[in-house]
Amino acid sequence: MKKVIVDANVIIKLHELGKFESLLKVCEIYVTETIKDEARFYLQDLGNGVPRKVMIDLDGYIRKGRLKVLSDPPMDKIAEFSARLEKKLPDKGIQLGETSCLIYLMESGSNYYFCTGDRAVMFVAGYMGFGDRLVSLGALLGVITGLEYSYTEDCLKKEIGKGSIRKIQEGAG
Amino acid sequence: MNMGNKNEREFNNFNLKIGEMIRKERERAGLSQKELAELAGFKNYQTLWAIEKGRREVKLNELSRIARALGLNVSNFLKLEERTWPKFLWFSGREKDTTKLRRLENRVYQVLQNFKYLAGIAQISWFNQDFSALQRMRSSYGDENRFVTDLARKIRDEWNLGRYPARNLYDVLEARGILIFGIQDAVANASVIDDITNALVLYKKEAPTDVIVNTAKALFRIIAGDIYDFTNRKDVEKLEKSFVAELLIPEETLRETLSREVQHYFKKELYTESLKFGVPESLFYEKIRNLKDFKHLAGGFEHAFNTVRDSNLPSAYLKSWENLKRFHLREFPLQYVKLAWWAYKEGKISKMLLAEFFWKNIAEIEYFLEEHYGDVLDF
Repeated sequence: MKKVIVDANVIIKLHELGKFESLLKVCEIYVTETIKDEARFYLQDLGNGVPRKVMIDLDGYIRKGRLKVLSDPPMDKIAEFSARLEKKLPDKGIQLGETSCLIYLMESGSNYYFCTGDRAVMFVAGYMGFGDRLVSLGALLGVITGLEYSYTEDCLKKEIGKGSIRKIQEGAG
Repeated sequence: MNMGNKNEREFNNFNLKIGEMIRKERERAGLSQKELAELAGFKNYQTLWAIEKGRREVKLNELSRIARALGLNVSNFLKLEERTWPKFLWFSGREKDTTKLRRLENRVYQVLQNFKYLAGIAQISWFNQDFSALQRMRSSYGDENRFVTDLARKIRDEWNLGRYPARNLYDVLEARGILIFGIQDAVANASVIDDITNALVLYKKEAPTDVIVNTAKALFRIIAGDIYDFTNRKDVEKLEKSFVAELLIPEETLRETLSREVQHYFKKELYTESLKFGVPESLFYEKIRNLKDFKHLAGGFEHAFNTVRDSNLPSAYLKSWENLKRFHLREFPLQYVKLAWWAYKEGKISKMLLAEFFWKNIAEIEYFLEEHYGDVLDF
């Protein structure tokens, strides 16, 4: 089974749709500490304009060994990667929790994949040359009703492509 | 510890610097280690003590919690640079909780930083309003009061504030790149002068007319912040009042109104006139008293305002000023919200970063923006 680090938006989206179990069946799921902190709850629309906060029990999955937690990379490594990103792509911004996931992909010999529904992260991965380590929720679970376009394989390919092209254009320039 | 290892040495150096930054930020916010540890969700303060000393590596999720507790974004700590502070000029302050004010300053500072970053992404050549030409006018004046009155006139004319300036003051300020923070729970106002852009921090729970006067006062501090010493209130109070009165109650409009209708004024109508300018009755009265040819009416006006205070007449006007407050005085400046939302929708920034820019969780950021800014954002 693929080892997949998942972004907070993926965990939240799948809990909203009641499909998190489906993901656990098709791959080995990992989260970084920061992503785990972020994916604490989701909002359930009750149709009255006041959403209900529903807690996400990731600790339950961790205790059962169905979800594994990765330590965030050391701060100096995150700072270095982040500075490089800011210099190379000043018009793209990702959060440091996402940066730490990308560092896992970048590490030599990494056999992790990363699943996100965020276009900016996909673009950055494409630009940094590890777009092939990204996997879409659409590709992992097939068609799911209610899943936004940003989680599809089509969106992932497009954004990675845009990032790669930018890199090539800079190289050519 | 093997001090011969270069990587290890650099690593420890990094930890020391981050620890030092956390300590400085904590002390500036007026928090003890115990208080910050509690706010950031640490089980005990010894962990924070070890992090500050550089004896324990801070983890990203811990640093995120520390940053949030201080009203900052986590990326601030990674650059290992001293912060360049904007100039905060607090006034009308009854806020005794300095920790609260420091954290509010942090948030304003952070929004200005994020705003600059977002403006860079959008390639907006955001210009800081240059008031130096106006400030230079001062040298040709012998009388400070005349100078500030003319300053107000010039601003009013150049910014096309119209006959009743309070009515479009906020639109004009926003169009000129001055960020407006409408704060619910800080009983104080401030002008924020920065090289990025200027900002006004306004306490929005006050009476609408007081908020408008405070807006004008804050603007005066931004324009004249380099000329006068605003820490010495007595020296500037009179000048400030002259500026505010002239900015919000154009003499021409007032004269025209009084000349035309003075014969027919009743008490309630006078009060209505003051509300058209969006100012408190005391300021309106004082402005009239300063007009030599109308001075004799001043006593009557004063009496009229006191009498009318309880009537239902002003409700329509109060409602319109309340609307103004509701639209313009929000927790985050409208330009900032619009820019951040645009950057996210265009795929320029991730949702997690968007959430961090508003100190919200990724699960709630869209709901928060839709609820509070849905009328100005494209959902």
